[in-house]
Amino acid sequence: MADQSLLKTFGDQTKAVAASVSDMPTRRKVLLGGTAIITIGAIGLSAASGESSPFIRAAKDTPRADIRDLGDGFFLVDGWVLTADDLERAGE
Amino acid sequence: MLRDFGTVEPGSLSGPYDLCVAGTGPAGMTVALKVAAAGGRVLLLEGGGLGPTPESRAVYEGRNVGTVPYGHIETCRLRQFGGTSGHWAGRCAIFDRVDFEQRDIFDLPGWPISYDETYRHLDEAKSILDIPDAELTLEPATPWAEGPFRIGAYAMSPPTRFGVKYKAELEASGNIDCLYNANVTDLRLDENGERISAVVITGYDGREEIVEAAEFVIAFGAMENARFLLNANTQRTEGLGNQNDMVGRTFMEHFNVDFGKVLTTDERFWSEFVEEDGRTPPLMPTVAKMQDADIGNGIITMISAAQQRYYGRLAPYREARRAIICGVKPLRARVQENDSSLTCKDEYFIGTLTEQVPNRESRILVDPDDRDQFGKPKLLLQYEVTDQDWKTIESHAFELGKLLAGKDIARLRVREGLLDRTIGVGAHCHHMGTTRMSDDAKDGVVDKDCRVHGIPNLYMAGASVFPTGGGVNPTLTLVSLAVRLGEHLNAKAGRL
Repeated sequence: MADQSLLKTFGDQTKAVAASVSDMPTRRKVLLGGTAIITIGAIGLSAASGESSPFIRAAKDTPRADIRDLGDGFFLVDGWVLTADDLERAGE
Repeated sequence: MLRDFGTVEPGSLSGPYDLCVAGTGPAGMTVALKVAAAGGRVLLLEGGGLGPTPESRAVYEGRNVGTVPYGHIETCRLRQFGGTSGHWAGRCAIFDRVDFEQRDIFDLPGWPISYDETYRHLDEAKSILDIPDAELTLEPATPWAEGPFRIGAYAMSPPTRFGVKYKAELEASGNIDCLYNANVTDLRLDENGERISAVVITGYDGREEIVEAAEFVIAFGAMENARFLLNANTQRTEGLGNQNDMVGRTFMEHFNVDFGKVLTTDERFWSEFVEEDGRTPPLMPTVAKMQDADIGNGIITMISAAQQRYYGRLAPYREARRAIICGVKPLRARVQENDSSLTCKDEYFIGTLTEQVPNRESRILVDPDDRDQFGKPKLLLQYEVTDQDWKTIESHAFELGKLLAGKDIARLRVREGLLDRTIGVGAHCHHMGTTRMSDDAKDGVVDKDCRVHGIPNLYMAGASVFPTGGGVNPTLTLVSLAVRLGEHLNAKAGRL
């Protein structure tokens, strides 16, 4: 469900950006185009790694010793307040 | 009658008045109108003009010498007719019943009057603030109201601008003599040194008038109330009401800490938990949570990042960058790790209003080396925050994170600066506590009737009398107390 929402948001934003591009001066178009190319390249590089949510990634990368137990089955991991299930998912 | 003090014929102010009120903000004007409505003859004084003027603003200059930054000494307050109501946002709420109980987190006694007594005139206060039908009880039945939180209740005043709402009434009033550009620079004690006998009014041209009254109310706001009493030292060197060194102490604000970012993970967050304006309802800790964890009260609201707009020449670039990066999960994760300023539209900012405990070391002082145009020492703020305050802020953050993760609808990432206490505590321009109410004179400045301990005809009005600050906006409470003070003065003079 969350993915669909993201796609919808992404789609809406892309349309909005496209609409605004036609009114931009040339320098801005070049800037925007360059950004898009760089970004798409970065997507290609990073997509291969198959990353998941940023908090799951944080849980994967955080040493166990740096995880703080907040009680009631919750943990503080690199600033994220996570559940035991989140930590389990990160360990898979 | 409403007049410019500069146009008043010297010696023509014919005291004694039944009451002199200094300050035309919500508290001062409410007291004045209440007493005048019962037939009392009132002198109502405003140091500023009908609108802002540079010479009036200059009187509010001051600086912070505390260890915690505070950049709102001058910007929060308006020194003009109608006072700070000229720019308040209008949010009205009432304190919790638990705020009136003595709690372990306080080193000083709490409220000496009950919740019911404080809000005995709530309906009248609501009418004054133009929210007569507002329902302000806490709501238990919503998806958020589980575990450690309740839903706060508030109403929005239009907001009421006292200088606008009551100007015509004051112009037409036969009982109120309202003077603007009339700076109250001192109070005179009688020959026995026990009661206040007269007020000293000074114009911007230096002209002074001394006018007698039976009762006096100071309603300048919490910062200025303390500065005024400390500077009123011509007959008592320690200042008026300061025999126990309590004037100016326990300055309190409400913290406004953006303690993290919320990443939504399930559509239920939007469909079930967010209101039409893109905000969550105000979450307040339950009484049980406050008592179990020894923390203070407060409000947490989450505000959609979708409302964030970029401005300036690079705005289109930033919007495009956000759209692209936020639309691709793996990229987003990587970028946000290194760029915390990038917010995607499924994220939420945190807005908070958090109780600050009364702390003697957080205080208003005066600066003998820097004086205003009337020769009075300017304001010094020594703003301090305690470990207890940080504990409250941190606990509110963690409990919110647990709630979101437990429901599996979002995750909270707490800012690093919160954990190491380097983040700014922010402000809401809610100045409170500097002439706190207490049964025992050693713990405060005024008694249950808002009368200065040891001076039978001097009263303080406004949030300066709050012994604790609670976890909601203060205006409705201070107006309720001002109505109560007006009633007290009427009863004392046999006007009821």
